[in-house]
Amino acid sequence: MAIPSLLAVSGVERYLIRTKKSSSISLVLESAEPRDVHHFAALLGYGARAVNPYLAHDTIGSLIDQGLLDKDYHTAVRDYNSAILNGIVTIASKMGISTIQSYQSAQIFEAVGIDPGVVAEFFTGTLSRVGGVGLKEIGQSVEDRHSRAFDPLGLGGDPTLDSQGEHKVRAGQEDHLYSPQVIHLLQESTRRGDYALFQQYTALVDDAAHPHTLRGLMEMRYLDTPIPLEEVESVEAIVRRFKTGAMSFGSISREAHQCLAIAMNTLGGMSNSGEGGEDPARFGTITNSAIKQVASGRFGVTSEYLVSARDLQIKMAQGAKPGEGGHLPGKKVTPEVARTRHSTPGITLISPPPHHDIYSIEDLAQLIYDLKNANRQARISVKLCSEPGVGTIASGVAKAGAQVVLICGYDGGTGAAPRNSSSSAGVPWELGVAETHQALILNGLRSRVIVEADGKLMSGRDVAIACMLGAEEFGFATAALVTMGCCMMRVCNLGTCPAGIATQNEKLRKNFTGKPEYVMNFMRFVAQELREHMARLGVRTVNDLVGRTDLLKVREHAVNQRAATVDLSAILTNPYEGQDVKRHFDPADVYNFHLEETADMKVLLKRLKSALQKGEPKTVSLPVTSTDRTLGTILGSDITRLYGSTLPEDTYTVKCTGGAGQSFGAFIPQGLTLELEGDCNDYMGKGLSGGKIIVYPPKSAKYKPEENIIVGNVALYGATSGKAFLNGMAGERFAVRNSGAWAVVEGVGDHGCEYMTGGQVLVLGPTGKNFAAGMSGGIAYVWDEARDLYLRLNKAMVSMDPVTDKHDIVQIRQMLTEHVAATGSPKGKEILAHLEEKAACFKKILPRDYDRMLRTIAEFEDQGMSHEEAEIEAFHANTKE
Amino acid sequence: MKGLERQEGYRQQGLYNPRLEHDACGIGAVVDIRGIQSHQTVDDALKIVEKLEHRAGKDATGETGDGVGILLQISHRFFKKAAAACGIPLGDARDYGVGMFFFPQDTLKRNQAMKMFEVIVAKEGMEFLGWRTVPVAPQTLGRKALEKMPNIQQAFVRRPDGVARGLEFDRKLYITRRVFEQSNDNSYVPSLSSRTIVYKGMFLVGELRRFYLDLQDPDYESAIACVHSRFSTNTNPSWERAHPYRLICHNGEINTIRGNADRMSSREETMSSPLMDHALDKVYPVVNPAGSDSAMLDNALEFMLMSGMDLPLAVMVTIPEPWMKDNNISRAKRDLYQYYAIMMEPWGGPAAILFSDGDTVGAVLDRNGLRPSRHYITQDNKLILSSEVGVLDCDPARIVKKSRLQPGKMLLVDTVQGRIIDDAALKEDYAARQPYGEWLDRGLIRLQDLPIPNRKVPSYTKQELTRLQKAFGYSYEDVKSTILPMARTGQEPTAAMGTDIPLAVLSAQEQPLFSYFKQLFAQVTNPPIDAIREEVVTDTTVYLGNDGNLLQETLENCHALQIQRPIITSVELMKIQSMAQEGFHVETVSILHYKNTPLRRAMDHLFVTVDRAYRNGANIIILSDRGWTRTMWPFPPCWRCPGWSAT
Repeated sequence: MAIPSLLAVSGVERYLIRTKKSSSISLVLESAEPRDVHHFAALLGYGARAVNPYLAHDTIGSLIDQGLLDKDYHTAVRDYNSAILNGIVTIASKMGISTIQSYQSAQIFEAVGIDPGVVAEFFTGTLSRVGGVGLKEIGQSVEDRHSRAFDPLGLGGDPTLDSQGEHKVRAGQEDHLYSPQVIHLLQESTRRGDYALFQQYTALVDDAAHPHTLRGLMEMRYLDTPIPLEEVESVEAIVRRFKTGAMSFGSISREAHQCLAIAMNTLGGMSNSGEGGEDPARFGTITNSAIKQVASGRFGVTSEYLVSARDLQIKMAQGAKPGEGGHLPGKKVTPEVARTRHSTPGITLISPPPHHDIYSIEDLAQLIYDLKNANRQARISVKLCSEPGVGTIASGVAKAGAQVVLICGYDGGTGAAPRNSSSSAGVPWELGVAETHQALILNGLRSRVIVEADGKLMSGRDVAIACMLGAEEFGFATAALVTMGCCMMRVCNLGTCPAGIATQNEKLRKNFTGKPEYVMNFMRFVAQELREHMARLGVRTVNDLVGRTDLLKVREHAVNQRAATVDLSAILTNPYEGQDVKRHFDPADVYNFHLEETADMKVLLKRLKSALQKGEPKTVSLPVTSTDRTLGTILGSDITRLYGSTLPEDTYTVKCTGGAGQSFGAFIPQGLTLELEGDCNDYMGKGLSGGKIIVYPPKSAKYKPEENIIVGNVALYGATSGKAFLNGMAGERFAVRNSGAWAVVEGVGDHGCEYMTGGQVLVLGPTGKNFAAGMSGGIAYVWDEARDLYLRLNKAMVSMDPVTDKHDIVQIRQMLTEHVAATGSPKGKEILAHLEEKAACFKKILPRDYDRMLRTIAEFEDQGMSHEEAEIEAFHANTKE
Repeated sequence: MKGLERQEGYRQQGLYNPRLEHDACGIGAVVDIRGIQSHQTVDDALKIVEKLEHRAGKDATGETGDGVGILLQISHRFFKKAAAACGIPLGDARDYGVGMFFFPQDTLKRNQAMKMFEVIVAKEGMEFLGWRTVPVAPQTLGRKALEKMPNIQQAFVRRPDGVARGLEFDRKLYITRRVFEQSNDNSYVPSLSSRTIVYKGMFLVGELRRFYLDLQDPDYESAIACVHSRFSTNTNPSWERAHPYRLICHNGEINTIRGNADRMSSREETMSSPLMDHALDKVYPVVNPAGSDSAMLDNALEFMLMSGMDLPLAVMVTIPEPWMKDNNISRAKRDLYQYYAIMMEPWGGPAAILFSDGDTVGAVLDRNGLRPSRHYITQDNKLILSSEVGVLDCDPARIVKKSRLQPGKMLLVDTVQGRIIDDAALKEDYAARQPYGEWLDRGLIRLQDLPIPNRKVPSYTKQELTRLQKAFGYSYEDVKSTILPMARTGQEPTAAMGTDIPLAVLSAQEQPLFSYFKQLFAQVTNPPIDAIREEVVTDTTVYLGNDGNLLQETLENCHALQIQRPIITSVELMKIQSMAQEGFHVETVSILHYKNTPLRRAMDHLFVTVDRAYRNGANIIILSDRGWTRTMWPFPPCWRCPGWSAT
């Protein structure tokens, strides 16, 4: 029999480290065991330098022999190895690690269900917080498998492989929470509004004999005589704490998206827009999503979008694939989806793994501040995914001013994700919620924030336990989808959802049978169940239930030998139980942003007061310094509230002098112009929403503007429209995820125009490395006199050609003329003077798919169609299989 | 005593683990390029940090800060005066070292610690000159900071004759400090050097200046001033965790720290340098495992510097630019990076780092450029660097250059030579010091260049294959939905709607051991990266063999096997197995065991076998589970696993 390869590798590596031999010995593993990306990641992460998975390779050989794979053996093995390696690189990148060399031995895992003694000895330094199996049980597993493979009597044994049904349900195998029976009962009960039937469903879900989750091992300490149910907080009050999960319009259909919004708005709960923007026609109506999500893609995040929210949620991670970006396949980007996302139909959309304005805790504090400026009435919520240390992160988030911290479990999530990610990244929310609650109390911050739990919450019991571990608001995604008809086909990523939910296909969308009432029934039933549990616990209000781990205990009879090894004491023993500390949110303790001290409130709103009311043009001057952060955003939000995006350009102009703080002009709308004589920091023009930003060096400066830095990193991130004229060079990641703004700049750092989907950028000087990576729309013109841009361009998605076309020259001339007029740029003037003869020094960077799409649309328009019709036809023409 | 325990901050309780704390911050520096000391420099740097308030954290009440500090040159003008007031004669500039100490408030404990230090100084062959109680203004502090405030003292140590000023003297002070640190658990030494000093504490940004009266004295002059404000994810930060450390201040997070620290500790066996060999016992462990990521990096850099490596080179080696896939980089520079990559893995993660030894000041940015770092150069030869611009008022007409640090690039000011050395010149200079390219050509072996041996890879019959699959727990899905699609498309399949099967430990099915491990990921305190769109910064290369001696530049260090893609085929494994190159010894160790052998005994046996291979001189060990059979005899014949054959 073989020692499990991970145990062998990690055990030996830790042994070598302990005995100071590891720098003289490298470990290589030859093993039959690893086959999945996660397996290899763990092996490298615990110290193997190289792995030879001979059995996986031989399996490929046998698949070829059986005719199941029509491919050369060596190519197939190479492709398999590449898939594994790319997967590992992605797993390392999730942690922000770029090289396998530093990933090795870095142990970026938590053990869930392994005895801490075993971990201390063989996986030294790894966390294990809930106890679990020891060497005996691990050895037993190996032996059981051995016996099954080599039956002791030597009769040959069963030659077929067991089906485990890890992902999809297969009869009699791995036990899924959403079994067909569970789905059926949930749908029937919520459709009929039949609470008794719903209780049959929850009986299955809560089944003590088949625990799936850590909460499945817990039991509530009920009173002998419950308190009367009428004394418990009402269903109406409780459902206000309920939310539906973040699912974007685009990933799900308009019908499904609106159905959730109507249901939650009617109940007084909240639905979540997801990260796909929202049709402005929905703002202010019953179909408006109360929570507007701000994720790394910033799709459709405009000033209007932000002011329409009750909660602004910053998505740091999602349960299905924490640490990874997203990607919406081109065929789901219908013209309607493209409009709400400010993109082009039929073009695949990429969400970057990180928010490019959050690389660190103080950056998150800055974004929280920006969003609070963009909508002073909204609560700012931060969505985190459960992992060790999430409690300390939540404390940092609370210090940064967030009012809601959402902790989601590893198992939740509806989005498409690499297989290893949905099952192996992150840990259960029970750990995350309990840790967050404890850490917040420890830091005296608990009453400052609301803790929200999310992740396969299915019944009143689930909600009660989440609450007792520390949560006070609750999110439901999968269950809500199931009530609307989802039958867990798990083809969301393919766009072929038969229930008409996760699809944009018009035929399939006709199959959608969901109704807001079903969702509302579900929420009410869950609330009702929660009340019943509360009555039996003797607790009258949800606030009183928060953090009451003393009302929980471990289930007495473990279902099997392995489960018996689990130790929940770290979760159930709250060190602060019984102490006189604040244990739940208190509105009196909410973080004070001191917005009244901002230049916007102190100066701009006052001086523009009457002009704002009348919509009259006005210019004001303002000295600024680096502590004037997010300048213009509050003014911008008020303009949006009053006028939407209807004001003419330059209606209000603020002339600033000095070194402006971060997020200068974030989200400013049409009609507002910020002019700055000086320089500015990171995130200038973040989410620019139609406004205009002009920056030039002080008149007294003697240096050449085009050779000096004037704007920091990540300028114009997620801009949707508007203009920027910058008389100097910008830092890294200029115009990342720009989807509509026009910008002129005189040089940019690395990763310029990354993930851009629209708009135009004119660069009058050198670019850094990796220009136009992941750029799927819009145009960039780059002054490339030295003809070496090719060395720094990422050519994966774009073409590069010298500018020769008249139309392009007209565009450049127009942008240059405006740039020179706004900033007086010497270099701009010079190029403009010789534009005709020097046009070919400009390179036009054009995404190939975008180019093809625009051409197809133009062809259809030439045939006499309207722009809308042409878009639809072109979409169908370009996304046909 | 409420004061200073080594592991200040909170202890492990409930689910909270202090190891998981994070921090980040703002940094700044003011440097007089020609090395002219002035109080203006100190004052300007303090002004910068006072403007970085939004990059600093405070506790729930808002009255206690997360930490602020400043690193300065030792001002001879000031200390001559201050020491004289305490009756301590100092001699000339750099003839004495100044130590900054955080001692317990408890008098007895403090006296013990102070005495201890005096004894150690004497033992290290130096003369202890005296103590100076640092004048402070505790009334400025928040409640928590006050509760934790240490007793702050300065120690003066005379430079022995025959020990050169500068680095050589600092090395003696370093060894002294390490000895003191290992013999005393309740004190902390922010700095002990003849060139630099660190003033720091649990402050709000404005409190640094007010708390330390020294900093307000117009006689305190320096040509170098580096400041740092900290934002921690908890609200119980400590005095010692404030930056700067002895050499660096760091904005960012080292997310590979666990592996880096482990490897630094195992490197202790192979590192050797004539400058330090006599004192290694006193200095080890290099890295204090209780420190934060920044502290550990500081430990490592300090050790490398004291062992003879140039500080900028040490920084280049630990935080290399992404050289592997950059086609704009020169050959010589590439060779230099390649040479050091064999011995040292990158300390990864977002980082803007300021470092100074008192003569030079440098700044470096991580390979991804994930932190801001902007700088101005003025007509009067000042360099003003900070996380943000606009933090120090300066006349636009006097600015000659406004620039930023670029990803992976370094900026160095040598105040002795009075000049700025830019990234290219600095690195080309290091690259030209040794014939790295030639060494690599002679020493480094690439997997693809190894000969394929004339042997066959073992093969299995269909029945054997199925047996093995079952024995190793392969399911139908593993074959059909995992292996097959990856072999077909070269990509991992995607799935939707999360997972709803039981946790491995609760499952009735036998899930592999891997399933008990859940991947961690970056959120908030450091960003995940995009390995597809930003492939230029990624690298999958690994090195096998001895790690070499980081501290001495020799050809022998290049003896390594380079594997560019660490998932290897059976033929590639065979190539490694039959390597006959000088400097390599490969052994195969079986991880099979007999049925009924408890796993614990099997593991113990494995360690014994690995030890034997080590004694035989093996530097590559192949752990193998080939040969699982019904009879459970390890199948591999003796040539496959010499270690095993002897049992």
